[in-house]
Amino acid sequence: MKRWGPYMMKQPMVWLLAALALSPLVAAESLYVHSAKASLLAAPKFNADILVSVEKGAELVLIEQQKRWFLVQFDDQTGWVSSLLVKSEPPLDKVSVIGSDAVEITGQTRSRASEVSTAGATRGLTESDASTDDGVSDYNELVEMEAISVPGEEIIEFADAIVRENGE
Amino acid sequence: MRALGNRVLLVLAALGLAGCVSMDQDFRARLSELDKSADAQGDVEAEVLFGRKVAARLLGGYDGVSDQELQYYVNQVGAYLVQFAGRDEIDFHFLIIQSAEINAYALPGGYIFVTSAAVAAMRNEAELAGVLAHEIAHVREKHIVKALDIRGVSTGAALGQLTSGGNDAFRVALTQASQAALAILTDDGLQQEDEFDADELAFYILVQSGYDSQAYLNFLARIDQDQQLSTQEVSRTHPDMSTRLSRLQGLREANGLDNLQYAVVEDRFLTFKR
Amino acid sequence: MFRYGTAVWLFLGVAPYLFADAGRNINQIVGDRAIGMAGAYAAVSDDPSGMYYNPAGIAYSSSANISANVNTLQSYAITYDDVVAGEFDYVRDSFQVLPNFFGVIQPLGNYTVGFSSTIVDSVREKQSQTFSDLTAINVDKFVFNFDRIDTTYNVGPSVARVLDNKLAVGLSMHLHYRSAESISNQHIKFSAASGNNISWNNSYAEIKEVGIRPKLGLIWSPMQSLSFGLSADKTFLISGNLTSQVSACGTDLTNIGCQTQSDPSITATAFERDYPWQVRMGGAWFPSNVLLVSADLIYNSPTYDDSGDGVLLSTVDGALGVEWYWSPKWALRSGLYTANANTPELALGSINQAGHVDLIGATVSITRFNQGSSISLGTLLNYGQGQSQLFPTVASLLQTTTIVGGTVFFTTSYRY
Repeated sequence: MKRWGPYMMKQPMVWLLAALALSPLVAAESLYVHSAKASLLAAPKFNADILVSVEKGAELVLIEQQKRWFLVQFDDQTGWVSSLLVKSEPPLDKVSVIGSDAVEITGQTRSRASEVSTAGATRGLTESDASTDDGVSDYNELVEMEAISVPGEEIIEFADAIVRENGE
Repeated sequence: MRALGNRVLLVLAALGLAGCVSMDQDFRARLSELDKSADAQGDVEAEVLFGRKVAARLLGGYDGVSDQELQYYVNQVGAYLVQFAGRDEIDFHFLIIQSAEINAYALPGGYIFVTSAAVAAMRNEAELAGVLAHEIAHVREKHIVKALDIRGVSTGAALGQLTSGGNDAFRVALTQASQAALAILTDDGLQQEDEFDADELAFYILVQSGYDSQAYLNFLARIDQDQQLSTQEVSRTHPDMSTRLSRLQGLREANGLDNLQYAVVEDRFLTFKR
Repeated sequence: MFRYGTAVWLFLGVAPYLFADAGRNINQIVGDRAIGMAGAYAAVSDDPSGMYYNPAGIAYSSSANISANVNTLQSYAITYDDVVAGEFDYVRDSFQVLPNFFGVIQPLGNYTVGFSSTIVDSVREKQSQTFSDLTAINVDKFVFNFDRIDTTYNVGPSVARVLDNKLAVGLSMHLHYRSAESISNQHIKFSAASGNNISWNNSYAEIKEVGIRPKLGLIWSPMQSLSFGLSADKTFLISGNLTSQVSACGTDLTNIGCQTQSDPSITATAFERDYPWQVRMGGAWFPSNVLLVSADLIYNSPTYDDSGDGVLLSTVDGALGVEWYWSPKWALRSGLYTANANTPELALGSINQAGHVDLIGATVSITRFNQGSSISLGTLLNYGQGQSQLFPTVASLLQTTTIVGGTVFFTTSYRY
């Protein structure tokens, strides 16, 4: 009677199937959508059909990469997404340092480096820093520049003109 | 023994065919190195703080154009493009600065400047979008930070030290770094490859956002050919225009874009440009 | 006339065998990350510990890195069963605080360079026992003191280079330095019935070795998430010196002076020693960024050691390790390894046999990560049972030997 073990080990198909079965474990990698919306396209070209639209933060399984396009799987859909819209880490919340607790570091010339280690010191650059600098910085204008802010709804409205021209 | 070896090769080949995405050693990186949550927060803060420092220094030498409506318009175009640029954890800020030299500057942390001369040479919104997209691409890829060769595991770790203000040595180094950053922007320029990358990314951003990428090529060609325009600074800090143009043209052809309709939005641009 | 009777353990001329307890090729498990994985590291090796296991691996380190085993508290006990009068056990203890690894690596252009200082073997054994009223063998009192230190260092630079995105090669060039000292003192007071009075024996031996140990490594990644490592090394001795001295005196009840004695002069001789070729093969699987499984097979070739156990056999040892991150800041590592004896198995009826005890070991450690630095705390346990021939000239006596060891280790690394 043939012994199962050694017989099976000799069959190349068994090895091949085992390898292919293991391969997803080897290759699986996740990508996350960073733009507000991302479209999965039928082909890695801009004029391809849109298969499905996914939201920010959605997790996609990477299957293949071609230059600036990724072939991914979302739920049971497989499609191409532009590499600009995804990254391999989940999206972060907005980081803002403007208007955060601007700590004034006084007496800097006296303090030794090891003493200035509080969290406040990490926000050490404030407008007052301009005076300890060599005097060629203009923080006032910088603050004015930062004050210009476009609300989200406006951007959607703004896009109308672009979308309309695309449709023609 | 030989049969076994053949079978092992077969397995390896199958795994290779089925699984191989790219063969760098990224798989060795462990979760502690990839953890972006707390570390990345700190990194991004440091980058923005550094960018502010350089921006303030730049504004020490230039003034913003006084036309507030134009400034707001540029920020609208920029904000729209930024959606497609993948760095939504920072706020981008755009400003047109008064200068006779045609150029645009991308500083770390999302501070982007375009000269008034550059805007004067533009014909429509898509051309403006092209220039902004190129600068946004620089910020996305952190080219300046890399160019300053601030070594560190994540460049943010070193930037974090520089911006911490915790040490006189760091403060001096920070001033030097911001001087160096400005020098790169106005004199030396970034690496050629970084500029080509930014052009390519700008192309993709434009297409994603619906703007006509041909407009960007048109703008670059125009400023290259027009002898009356001041382009010394841009020539000094960027690769030669013919190479840039041919690469962009290649991208257009590869993506079969000539048959597709994209927006140039000329009217809106002209109302603001004056 | 000095009667030997049944008090047969007189260790005249025992000096060369002071180092002759069970030897093995795998001794210290070193390295911040490797120790938690029981040394299964040949295919991983992408941090300073890699300089010892497989220098090619450091080419894949993502940044400059300093790593140190800050302290290991190592303790073990060796019990030789039924040594005295067929009844009492000899127990040898060892305790040491040992910083057994320090390494630093730095990317430099297309290369990665590094420097490491490793203690590849360290022994600190002590024994002090007194046996009284052994009437069956006519001994009133038997005092035995034994102390042995044996430390081997590998210190030197390493360099590695990525050849293409699947293959890397590396070289470590270590200075080998071994310093060993052993002293034993035994004093036997015989009972009157034996006619003997006192037998006293004091032996001392010191070994110094200087050599060079080049280590060549390769790492091959045929596909994503899989890595194979191969490294080979050999220690080439430049000089080996043995200094020894034996003082002994036996007196009996009838005559004056030592009836048996040895020449107490200090003798120094140069010796030759052939260290084995060591080949370490390993495979590692990185299925995700939270799990790593690694296995090594280590082969050492047969060799000889004139200063110690004489002829040594080849050994094959294995190690299996796993590293698992349960969060970005915490990881767990564990592993199993063998450290088999390279001495032949003992046989009754032969003399001058070295001890043979195969060891198995297990490790587990926990690591905390924080912005580029990590700190680990763990434990390593090993156990083995085998045989020794403490009295080399007595062919009929072999002792069952048990080794139980425990180590607590505390390691750290920092990327910059």
